[in-house]
Amino acid sequence: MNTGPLSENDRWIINYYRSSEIKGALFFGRIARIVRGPLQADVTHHFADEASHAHYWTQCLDDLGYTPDRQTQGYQDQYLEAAGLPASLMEVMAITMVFEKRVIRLYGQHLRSSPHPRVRQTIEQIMQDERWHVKYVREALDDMATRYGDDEVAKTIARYTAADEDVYARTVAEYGDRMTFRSHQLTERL
Amino acid sequence: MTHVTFEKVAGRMSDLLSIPVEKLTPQTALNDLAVDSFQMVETVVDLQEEFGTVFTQAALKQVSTVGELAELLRTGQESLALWTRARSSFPC
Repeated sequence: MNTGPLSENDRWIINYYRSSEIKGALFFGRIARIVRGPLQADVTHHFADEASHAHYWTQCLDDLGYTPDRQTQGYQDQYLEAAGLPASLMEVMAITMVFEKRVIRLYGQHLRSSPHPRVRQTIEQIMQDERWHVKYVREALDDMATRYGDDEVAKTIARYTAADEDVYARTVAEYGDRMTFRSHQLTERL
Repeated sequence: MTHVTFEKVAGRMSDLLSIPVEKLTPQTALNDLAVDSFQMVETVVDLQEEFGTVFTQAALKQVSTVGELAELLRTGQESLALWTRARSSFPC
């Protein structure tokens, strides 16, 4: 387990996480403003979670003696570029489910690489919320099948899943060197 | 359900985007209105929720002005009403 100072790559990935969580909060803040009905409480909770996660990463860096870097890009930017803007509440929920599953996989990979204990604590804290996000979004999509049609919901999820795979491949190609926890997992497999 | 008219759509967009309603005409380009992509998502989702209609990303891609967006909402509302009526007439 790494208990020393964070490497430049570790700091970069934490700043990337922080930036993505801020983007998530800004996005869900928009949706929380306009969503109606039973989803209002869950989406507002989700918005608050994303903001809290950005705070957790900021606190993590601060506790380890670092100052957050200003990153303007988040994972979401590449998503919207690859998959296009979601055009309805169902599409918002579909892209969210695919995205949250990817986040859980990424954080899971990072946990398995024996990160610094303070980083581990932050990821574990965030993962509890992420699992709930997937659960409530999946239930919302099930409920939306009546309004949007089962086929349309399934097609939308498939479209965003394909975009997710494309974005992840491009992210690894561009930032793979920074994501050192991935190489740890590859070494484990060999 | 609120019936879709250009004036109602423009009024709602004016509130959401903080743009004077008199600046919104049927020819106003959507690309000139939203500050960023998140604001555009917020606007189109809000309009569908407000007018009780739905449309897809593919349909939205065909639209470039406020007038065309109002028309998409209007036809979507009519199609949804027809579909709901047809569905309720099927025996369970």
